[in-house]
Amino acid sequence: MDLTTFVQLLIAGILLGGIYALASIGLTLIFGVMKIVNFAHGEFLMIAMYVSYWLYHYFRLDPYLSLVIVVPLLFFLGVLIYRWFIKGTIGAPPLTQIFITVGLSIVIENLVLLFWSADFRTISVAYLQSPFILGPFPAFDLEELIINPARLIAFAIGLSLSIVFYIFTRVSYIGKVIRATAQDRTTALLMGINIDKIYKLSFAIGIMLVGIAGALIIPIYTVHPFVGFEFVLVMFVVVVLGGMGSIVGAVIAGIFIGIVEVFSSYLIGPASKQAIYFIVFIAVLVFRPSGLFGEKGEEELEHIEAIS
Amino acid sequence: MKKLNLMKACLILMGIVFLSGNAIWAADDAWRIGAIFPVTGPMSKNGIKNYDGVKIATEMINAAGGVLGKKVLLVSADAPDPQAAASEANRLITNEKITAIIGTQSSSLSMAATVVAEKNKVFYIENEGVSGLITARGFKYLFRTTFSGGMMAAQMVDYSADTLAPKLGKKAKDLRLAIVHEDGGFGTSSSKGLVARAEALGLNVVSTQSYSSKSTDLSGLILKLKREQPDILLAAQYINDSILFHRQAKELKFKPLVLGTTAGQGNPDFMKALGADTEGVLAGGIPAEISINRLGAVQNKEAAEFVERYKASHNGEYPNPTSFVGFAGAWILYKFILPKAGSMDPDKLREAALSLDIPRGQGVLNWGIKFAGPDAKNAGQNVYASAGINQWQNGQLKLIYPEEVATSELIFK
Repeated sequence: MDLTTFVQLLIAGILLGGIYALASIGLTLIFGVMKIVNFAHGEFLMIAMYVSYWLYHYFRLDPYLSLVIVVPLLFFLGVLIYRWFIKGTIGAPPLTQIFITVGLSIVIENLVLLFWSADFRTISVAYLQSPFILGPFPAFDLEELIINPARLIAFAIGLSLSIVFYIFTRVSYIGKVIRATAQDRTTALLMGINIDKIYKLSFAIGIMLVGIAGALIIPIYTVHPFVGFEFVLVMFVVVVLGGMGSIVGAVIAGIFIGIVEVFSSYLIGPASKQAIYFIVFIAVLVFRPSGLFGEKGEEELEHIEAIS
Repeated sequence: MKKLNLMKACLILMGIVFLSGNAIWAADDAWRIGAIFPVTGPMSKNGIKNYDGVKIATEMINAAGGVLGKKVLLVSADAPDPQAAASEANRLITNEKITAIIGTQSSSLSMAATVVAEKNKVFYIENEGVSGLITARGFKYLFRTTFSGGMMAAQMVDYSADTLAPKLGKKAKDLRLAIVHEDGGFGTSSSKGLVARAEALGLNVVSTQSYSSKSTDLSGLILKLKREQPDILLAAQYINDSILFHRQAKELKFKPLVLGTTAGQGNPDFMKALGADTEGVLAGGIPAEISINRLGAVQNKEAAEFVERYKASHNGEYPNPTSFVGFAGAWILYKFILPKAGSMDPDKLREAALSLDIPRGQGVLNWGIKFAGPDAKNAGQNVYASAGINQWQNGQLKLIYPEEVATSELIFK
């Protein structure tokens, strides 16, 4: 492999990883705080992609401007979903929670299919059509490097958002409360924290974050009712590999998986790339069951009392 | 409160069962034909289009007085996945007492549903699933009206060698062919067909690559193919991944002549996504259009009526290619097999199907009808069916081969 190909693949891998990371942060938040495995997470990505798509389709609204609508919409969707479906399962056995989120995912998929059909919908934004070309750099023996602008924007916004969100959980009062609840909900409850409110907020923020990811990737990917399924597996890998509940972990694991995927598909063959990153995934879990950045014991599902 | 809701749900459910049961028994004196298609789930996009073709064929035959004076009634079943296809086939056969089924659009669904039908000795028309495995099992009651993946692949390779090579200014043996395919049943079996034909003709396949159709990035694959500098890229992809592939290939400046299939490159969504970049892209498989004027007089009229009815029920949209094969399968059953059998007895239907020998051009579209016998390697295959090669020209998918039904000529830059 020559240097240009190597750098080109590295760029592709990092940018892809940024998309994975962005899509996974919300999931890791819900996982970390509520200990709920949200199997419907991919479907919320799909909904956000559709919202952004329709806004472009009917009003020619720029997909990045559509964030102004997507963000509050997905936040409130998160609040409603929490109130109607998730709240009742807090304190229920994990199996019940799995059933409710899997059920939600199937219902959402089929409702979307019913209303918007199985058409594959794509938007083409004019200013994102021509790729950035870097170089060539004869000094480093590099030919020109090609960068997809939409992927670069998704990566940049995703990364800055992760940093902002990380600081938010470290510095702000609400952020600290969310972390406290994640670490020990019984003590948090004793300290007078309104767990129900924090759960609702965390769930809504989680859905909102995946919504942002949806709006950012609509210029890159085709949206159809089953697009969530294409992302959800890799999102789970990212979350578990990075450590459940760890934002930094999700970003690093996302980029890591992106790089592994792109390189293995070049070197070994695209068909084997999933096998490769699952091997890495299993290897990491053997040595660090709580993931790369997870806190010890984070992976254990604890049984908690229902919120009354 | 919760109990009350449960009771309500039960009542509604009972109501649905009661109503649908009524609808079925009301038409006791009709030809009742099972229709298994994926109308929900990931494959529903083409499943619905195919079923639309079947429904329009049914409307047409009923408008013309039905078959032997009796109307045709479809008893539909939804098969989003192979398990559902098998269980729905079972339901149609045991509960609905169906003895002839048409389906299933997708090869993986067909594999599951046809096993159940064969076991119960139920007549089965497969109208779109192209996998070679379907007809490789020596089933007695299974008949595939459309071309097989192997027939399509062979045509794609032949077309590359006979027509595209001279245009590229090369001898067929000097062509650099590359194959890229998704790693599901469709892509894998198509790729096998492509490789087999290329080997038989002594052509040079420089690279064969597979990938998952659910991939989110194909840049590694594209850089790998680019290194091989193929003249023609034969691609067996689905729509979603074909869009991603073409977008990333354009970015990475990989611009071979692409000959894909109607499952991917020939899909109308491909045009919607890529616009002007589709110009010149080729797609083998289902003929996108039929030059109605070049068919026989009867076939002309039927095809024109089908297009007319399809447009009327789809806001003026031209039929999706998959609707054509859906229509063709149903039409072969209604127009040729059923009248000859005169009965819904699977054995009579089977004999009628096997006795047909309709030359090319006198069946449906430009196809003839002749099914391979149960001892053949491709038992039940309509050997007179034919695939076609299409090309995107000014935003329209035009049929450029075979010439007798082509609506346009190859445009070569």
